[in-house]
Amino acid sequence: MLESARTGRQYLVRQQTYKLGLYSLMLAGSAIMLLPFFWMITTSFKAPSEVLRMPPKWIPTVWLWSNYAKAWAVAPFGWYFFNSFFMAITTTIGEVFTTILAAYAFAKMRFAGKGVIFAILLATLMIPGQMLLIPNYVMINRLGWHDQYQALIIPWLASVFGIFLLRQFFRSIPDELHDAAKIDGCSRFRFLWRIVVPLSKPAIMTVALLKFLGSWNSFQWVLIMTNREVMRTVPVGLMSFRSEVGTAYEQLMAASVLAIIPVLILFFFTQKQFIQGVARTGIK
Amino acid sequence: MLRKVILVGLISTMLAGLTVMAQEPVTIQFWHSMSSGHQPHLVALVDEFMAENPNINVELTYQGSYGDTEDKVNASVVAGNPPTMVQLYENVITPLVEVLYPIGPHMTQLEKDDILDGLVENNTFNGVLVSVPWNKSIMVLYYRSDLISAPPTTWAEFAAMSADLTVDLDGDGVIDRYGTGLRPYNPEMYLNYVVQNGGSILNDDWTAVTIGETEGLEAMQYAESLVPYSFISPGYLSDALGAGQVAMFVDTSAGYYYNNKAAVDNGYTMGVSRVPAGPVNAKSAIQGTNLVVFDMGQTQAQKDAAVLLAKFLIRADNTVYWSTRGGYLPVVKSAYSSQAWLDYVADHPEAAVEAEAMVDGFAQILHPNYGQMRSVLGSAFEEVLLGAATAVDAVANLVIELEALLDY
Amino acid sequence: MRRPKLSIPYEWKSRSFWLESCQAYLYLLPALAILAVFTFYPFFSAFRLSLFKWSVVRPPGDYVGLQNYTKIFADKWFWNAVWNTFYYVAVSVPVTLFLALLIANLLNKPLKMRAFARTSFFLAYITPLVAVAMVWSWMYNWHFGLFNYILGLFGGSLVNWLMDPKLSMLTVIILSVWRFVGYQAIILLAGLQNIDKMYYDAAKVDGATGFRVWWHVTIPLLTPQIFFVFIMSMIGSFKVFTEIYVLFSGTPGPLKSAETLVYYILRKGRFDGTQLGIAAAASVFLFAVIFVFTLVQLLVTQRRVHYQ
Repeated sequence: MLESARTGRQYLVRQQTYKLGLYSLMLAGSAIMLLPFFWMITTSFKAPSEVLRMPPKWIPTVWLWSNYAKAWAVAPFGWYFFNSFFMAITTTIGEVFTTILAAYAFAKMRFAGKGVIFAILLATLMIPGQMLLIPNYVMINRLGWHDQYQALIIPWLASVFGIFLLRQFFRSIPDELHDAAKIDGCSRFRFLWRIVVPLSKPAIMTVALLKFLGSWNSFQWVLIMTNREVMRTVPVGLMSFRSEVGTAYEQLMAASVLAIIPVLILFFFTQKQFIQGVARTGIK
Repeated sequence: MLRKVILVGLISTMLAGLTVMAQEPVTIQFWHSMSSGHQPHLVALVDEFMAENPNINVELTYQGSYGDTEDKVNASVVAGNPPTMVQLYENVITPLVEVLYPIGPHMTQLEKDDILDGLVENNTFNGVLVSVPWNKSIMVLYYRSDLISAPPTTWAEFAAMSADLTVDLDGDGVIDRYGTGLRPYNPEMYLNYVVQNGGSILNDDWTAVTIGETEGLEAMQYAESLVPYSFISPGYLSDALGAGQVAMFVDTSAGYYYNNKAAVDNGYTMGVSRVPAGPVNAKSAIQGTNLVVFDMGQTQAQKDAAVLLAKFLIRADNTVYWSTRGGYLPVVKSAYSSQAWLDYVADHPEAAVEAEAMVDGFAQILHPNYGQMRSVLGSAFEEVLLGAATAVDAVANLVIELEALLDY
Repeated sequence: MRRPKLSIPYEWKSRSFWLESCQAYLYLLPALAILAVFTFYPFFSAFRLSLFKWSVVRPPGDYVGLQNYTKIFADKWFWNAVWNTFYYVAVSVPVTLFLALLIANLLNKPLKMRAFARTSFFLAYITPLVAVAMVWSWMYNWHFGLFNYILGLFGGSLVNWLMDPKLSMLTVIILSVWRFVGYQAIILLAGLQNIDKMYYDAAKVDGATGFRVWWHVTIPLLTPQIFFVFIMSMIGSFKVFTEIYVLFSGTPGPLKSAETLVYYILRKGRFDGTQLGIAAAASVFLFAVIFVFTLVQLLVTQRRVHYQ
C-alpha cells in the first residue's frame, strides 16, 4: 500500500511538471506571437520622434491618445468601417451558404464530372490573383457594377478554399448517419441543414471567420473597383498614411490598431463557439 | 512680363469659361495620387476652380500611390472608360498617347512658352504638347547643418566630406553614422552623376546606348567610391536621418517635409543646398507627374473642361500655391517672379535653392521602354552599391541590357 | 452478355446516378455561377494573354505565339525567381505545418489560458502586414535589431539580415512561418475538436496512453485537415509576394535575391512597365508548376487520408 502511494505521488509530480511545461510553452509561444502586436500598440501612442529611434524605444514617454484622433481625421474612416463591416458580413453569410451546399455535394454526392470540376476549382487557386484583376475589372465595368456594392460583394460570395475545407469535414461524417435519416424519411436537403451543419459547427465557424477576415483585409480589389471615398474600406484607408517620400508611422499604427479590433473581438468570442468541445459521445 | 502673362491667362480662361458656361453643366473626373499631406491643398484648388467655373463639376478621386493609380488607369483604358483627367509619369503616358486629348493645341503660345523649357520637351510627343507638368520636384542635397557648416559644392568636396563624417561614435567597430546615404533601386541618383559628367543614357535619336561611354562609366565609378561612406538601404532616408545614421544625402525636394521633421524631432537642424556640381554641370533629376486628358468616350464639353482645369492648375498663382504647400516647384516661369513666390522664398530659403535647381534640371526621356530601362538602371546601380560588381562590369552589363530595350 | 467495347464508368448506367448528378449540380450552382464569372473567365483570360504582346490601347495587342515564353525562359531573372520560389516552398511548407501541428495539440489541451493563447497565435495572421513589416524590419536591423542583439549575447557576430543576398529568402521564410503558423493551427484545431470522443474512449479501453494515442488515433483522424492545410499551404506559398514587398520596402530584396515568381510577374506586368503578355506567360508557368506538384501530392496522400 505504501508503494502505490509513492508511485501515486510520483505520478502526480510528473503530471504537474508536464502541465507546467505546457503552460510555459504556451506562454513563450504567445509572447513571440504577440511581440509585433505589442509594438504596434505602443507605437500608436508615441510621439513621431520616438517611432524610429535606434535603439528602439518600447514604451512611449507620453501616451498620445491624440494620434488616434488625428488618424481618424485623415480619411473618412467612419465610412470605411461601415463599408468594411457591410462587405465582410454580407460576403461571409453568402459564402457560408454557397460553400455548405457545394462542399456537401463534393463530399457526399456522386455526380458526373465530379473529379474534373474539383480539379478546375483547385486549379483556379493556382493563378496569382494579381493576374485576374484586369479581366475582372473589365467584367465588372461591363456589368455596370464598378464603384457599387455589387462589385465588392457578389464576386466574393463563393470560395474554393471554403469548399475544399468544408468538404474535408463533411467527408468525416459517417454515411450511416445519412442512411439512417433516409430511412426515417428525411430528404437530403433537410439532412444537410438539420444534422450535418450542426455537427460541423467548428468547421463552419472556421470558414466564416476566415472569410470575414479575408473580406475585412481586402485591399487591392476594393481599390481597383471603387472610386468614391464613401465606397472604400479600412485597408484602403490605411494607405492614406503613406506617400512616396515618407510615412506617418504613429498614425498608421493607430489606424491599424483600430482596424484589428473588430476582427480580434470576433475571434475571441467565436473561438469558444467553434472550438468548445464538440464532445459528441458517439453516433450510437 | 509676368503681369502680361497673368492677364492673358486670366482673360483666356474667362473667355473659355464663358463659352463653357454658355453650355450645359458638365462633370469631369480627376484621378490623383495625392495622399493625406497633399490632398487638402488639391481639394482647395479644385474648389476654387469650381467657383470660377460654376458649370463644371470636378469629381476628385484618390486612387492610391502612383503605382496603384497607374494600374487603375491602365485597367480603365482596357475597359474603355478612363477618367477625364489623371496625373501620370512620362513612361506611363507614352503608350497611352493615341487615346489622349492633347492639351498643348488648346493653349496660347504665350502660355506654352511660360512652361519651363526642360518640362516642355518632356511632355512633347511627336511634336505635340500632349500633357502638362504639374507636381514636379527636383533633387537637392539635404544636410545636417549642426554637423556641416558649409555644404559641399563639388564632387570632390562631397566625397571628402562624406569620408570625414563617417564615424564610429562609440568605438565598438560598427559605424554609427555615415557621411551620406544611397538608395539602391533609385536610378535617379545614378543619373544625376551621369548627367553631371556630361553623359546620357541614349544618344539623341535613340539608336545607340551611350551610358557605357567614359562619362557614364566615370559617373558609376564616382558612386562606387562613395560606397564605404554611405548608408545603403532601400527604405526612406528620412528615417535614417532621424536615427542619426546619415549626415547628408541627395533626395527629392518633395521629401522636404519628412526630412525636416525627422531632423527637428530628433534635435538636429537641417539645411538644403544644390546638389554638388560634377565636372560638367550641376544638374539634378526632375521627378513628378504630368496632367493628361483622355479622349476615349469623353464628350467635347468634358475635354474642354478638363483642359481648363489643367490650365488652371498650372496658372502662375496656382502653381505657386500648390508648390509652397507640397514641396514641389512651380512649373511656369512667370511664377518664379510672382510676389507670392518671392514672399515664400524670403521665409523659406530652401525654396530658393530648389527653384535654382529646378530651372537647371533634367527630366525623364520619353522612350517607350523607359519603364524597363529604369529598372535595369536601378539593378546596375544596386550591384555597385552592394559590392556585387565593379563599376566597370556593372556598366558593361547595363549597356547590353539597355541595347536589348532599344527596339519598340 | 457481351461486354460493350467502350468502357463507360459503371455508374453512368444507373438512372439514380444521373438523378443524383442533377441534384448535385443544383447544390453546386450558386458557388459555380459566381466562380465561373469571376474566377474561371479571368483565369482563361490570363492564359490567352500569354500569347499576345500586350497593348493597353488596343488590348490584347499583337499575337506573338510562344514568343513570351521563349523570352522568359531566356531571362536569368526568371530562373532566379523560380529558384527562390522553390527554396521558399521547400522550407516554409513543412516547417510551418509541423509547428502548427504541435501548436494545435497544445492549444487543444484543457489548460486555463487557452483562449488567450489561441488569440495570440492567430493575431500574427490578422495583424496588418504594414505593422508586422515595421516590427520585423526592426528585429532584423543590422545594428539595433532584436535578432542581432540575441546573437550578440551568445557571442555571435552581427548579421546583415536584410541586405545580404544570401540571407534574404531565409528572413522571409522566418517571417512567413511566424505569420501562418497560428492560422494553420486554428484549422487543425477545428479538426482536432471534430474527432469523435469515442475513438479516444476505445483507445483508453485498449490501454493506450499519451504519445501512442496521439500517433495512432489523433494524427490519422486529423489527416483530412492535415491534407487540406498541406495542399493549401503549398499552393499559397508558391504565390508568396506581399511579405517580401513590405519587408524589403517595395523591392525584391538585395539584388533581387528575394524575388519570387509572383514578384517577377508583378514586376513585368506592373512595376517596370505593363508587359502583361510576359507576366501572363510567367503566370501560366507558375500554374503548371503548382498543378503538377498538387497532382503529385493528391495522388501520394489520397490513400493516407482517413475519414471517420
